[in-house]
Amino acid sequence: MPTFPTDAWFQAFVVSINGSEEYRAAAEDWEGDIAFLVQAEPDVHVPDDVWGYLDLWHGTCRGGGVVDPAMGERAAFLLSAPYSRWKAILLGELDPIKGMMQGKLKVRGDLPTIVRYVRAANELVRLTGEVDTVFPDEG
Amino acid sequence: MNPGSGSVAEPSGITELIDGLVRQNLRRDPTRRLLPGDVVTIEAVDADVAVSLRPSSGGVAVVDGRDPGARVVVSAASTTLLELAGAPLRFGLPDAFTGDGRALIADLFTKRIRVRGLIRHLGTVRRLTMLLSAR
Repeated sequence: MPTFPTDAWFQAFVVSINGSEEYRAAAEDWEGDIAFLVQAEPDVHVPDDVWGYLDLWHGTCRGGGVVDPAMGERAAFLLSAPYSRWKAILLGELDPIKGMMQGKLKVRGDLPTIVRYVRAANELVRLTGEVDTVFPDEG
Repeated sequence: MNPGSGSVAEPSGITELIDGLVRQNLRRDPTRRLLPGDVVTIEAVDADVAVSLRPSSGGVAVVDGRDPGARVVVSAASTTLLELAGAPLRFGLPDAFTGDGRALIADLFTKRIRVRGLIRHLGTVRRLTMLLSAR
């Protein structure tokens, strides 16, 4: 079972995305890569920032994993939050759209595009819950 | 949440989001605008946050919190508010000829979206939806 947020976890997430008919339908016109910045929280065993990355293209994910900060910064869209907030999202305890409204999840990129694909974004987040996950602060 | 118009503190997420959306939309289409008197508050009821918009000399001012002088108040859950901004429009209102538009009209009838001032200030509502529209 992969640990969040490792490269193995993002690889499992890619498999989950590509197995989702709902995501394929909701994002059939989507073009753009997304970076996920998981900000460090050393007291819960996440000592460094981690940059996840997904290459999303027309309802499929062409690849992804942990990348270096320079590549993450180049992504068309960036979602960032401290580790514990991401954990709450993965566990379904924090709705990501509500989190964006409250400033708990920061978003960068072309906002009109993000707004048009809010259903695809919600489906992406739901799929994170389908990845069997180990959390470093629960090991 | 602090009511009122404006704050020197860090803006809330909804304010950053709506401000960014308005600025990016105005870059794409500078003809979108609010008219004098078009003061609007948008509330994400599930997140307990609000943002207000009003015309300004530079275009549109977007500030934290509720504006007690708002002539239109739009209240809905966070996701529904974004769906409203992402919906196709016809004459400045959700397009009933599309599935997304019909879903939003149903949300209005079932009060999942509440728009205070919808009838009395329909012009303001239309200018707001055009301003926020991601289409």
